[in-house]
Amino acid sequence: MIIWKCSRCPSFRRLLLTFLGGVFLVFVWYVLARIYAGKLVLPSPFETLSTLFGLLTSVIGWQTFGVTLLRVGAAIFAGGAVGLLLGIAAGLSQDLRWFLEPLRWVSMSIPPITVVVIAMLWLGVGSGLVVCFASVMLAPIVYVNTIKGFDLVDDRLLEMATLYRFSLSMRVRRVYIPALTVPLSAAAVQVVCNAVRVTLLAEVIGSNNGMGAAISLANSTLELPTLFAWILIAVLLVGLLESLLLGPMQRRSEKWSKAK
Amino acid sequence: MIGASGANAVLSLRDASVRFGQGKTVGPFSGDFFAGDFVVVTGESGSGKTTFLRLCAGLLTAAGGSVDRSAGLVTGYVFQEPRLLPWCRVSENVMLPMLAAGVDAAEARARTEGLLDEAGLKDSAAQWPLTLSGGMAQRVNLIRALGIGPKLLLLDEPFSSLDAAGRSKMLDLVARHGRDAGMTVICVTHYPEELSGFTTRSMALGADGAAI
Repeated sequence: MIIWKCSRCPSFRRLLLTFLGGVFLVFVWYVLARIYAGKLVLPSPFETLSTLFGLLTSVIGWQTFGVTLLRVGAAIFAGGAVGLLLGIAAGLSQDLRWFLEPLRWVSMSIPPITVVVIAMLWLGVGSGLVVCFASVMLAPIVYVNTIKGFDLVDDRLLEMATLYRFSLSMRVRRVYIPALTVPLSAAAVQVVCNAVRVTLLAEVIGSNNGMGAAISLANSTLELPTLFAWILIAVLLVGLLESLLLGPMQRRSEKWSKAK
Repeated sequence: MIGASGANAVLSLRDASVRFGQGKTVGPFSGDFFAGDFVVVTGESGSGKTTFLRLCAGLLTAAGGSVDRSAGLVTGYVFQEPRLLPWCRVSENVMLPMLAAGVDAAEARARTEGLLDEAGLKDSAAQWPLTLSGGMAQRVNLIRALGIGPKLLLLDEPFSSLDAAGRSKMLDLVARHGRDAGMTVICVTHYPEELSGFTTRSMALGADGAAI
């Protein structure tokens, strides 16, 4: 009843429904944990939350989380910068776009696990491997969305810029980049989610520290509550980045379109 | 070509035509345009009026014939639809062409304020283009073109979406700036009678090119 009565406050309605969706997931988790209780398959939400609390109150827990967070940040920065710069260059030059097409195709179709294995051979285990692998996985997402954005730029605005002799830098700053913010905002969500996933994947295989390594250890010692607590932290990290970083960025970049 | 006053043409077209893709050719267009000219261009839909203006502006390259523009000819273009950058505020939209033309930022700001005031848009300087009415957006389109101090001003059916008051405001602005700066104005319109007090010449485009 509350949901239908608050049709006048869409943001509250959205929050309420999202919260209820979360509660539903936890309920399903709880039911499944009860069904498989004692079989070392699924810990209960209570056990997991208790372990999560333990991790969040320990120095090692925060250190582990911090290492992964830094790697995620570095991967987003490096992969984002490479994808954006190449995307802008390829958006401005059709020839370069064709030239880069095989590289895009290879980087998007190669199985991630093989990239980790090759990177391990070349770089050894550690932060270098994790950041490099995650960047390689993220750059094509940014690259493809940047090019998509270029294709959506209004030709009439470009003609106006040509007539008034906008310099290349003015054209990029005043026409292309603002026009790119809509497709790139959508890509940013994808990039953040994937950054956490691929960083954890690389840490599971090629690192002795970080959340991925902790997940791997918990898995091998069958500490399921710890395993699920780290998974929960990863999920919460994506949620936090999405709502605290991407949301405001998106609202800021699109305020001109909401003004109407 | 030398005009009646002995002045050189600002813009000359000699059998200039444009080819679109492999097929359709528009033109040929011919004509000489001098400083202080206010030329009204008419023609049926599809006769190539916008193509003619884009050719004059240098936005299209002639496939045949020639287009001679005097060296460093500063050109303003009032597009049929305003083509304002939706993510830049009104004042920025007016300023950007000036900055691109190398006008000092302080000078560009002062000029923008003056033009917005003249166009009755002083209070709209900080608005986003999407919040403007059609008439207001078209006036911004016009003062953006006037801001760079053009020697050639091209207007592509600028009044088609405006009411009588809006048309009158825009015409006053064009006439005032055109007269003061000795500007060459070429205006494509379906309603030449509204410009009768301002025009020095008219030009009708037929299916096979231009005739003055």
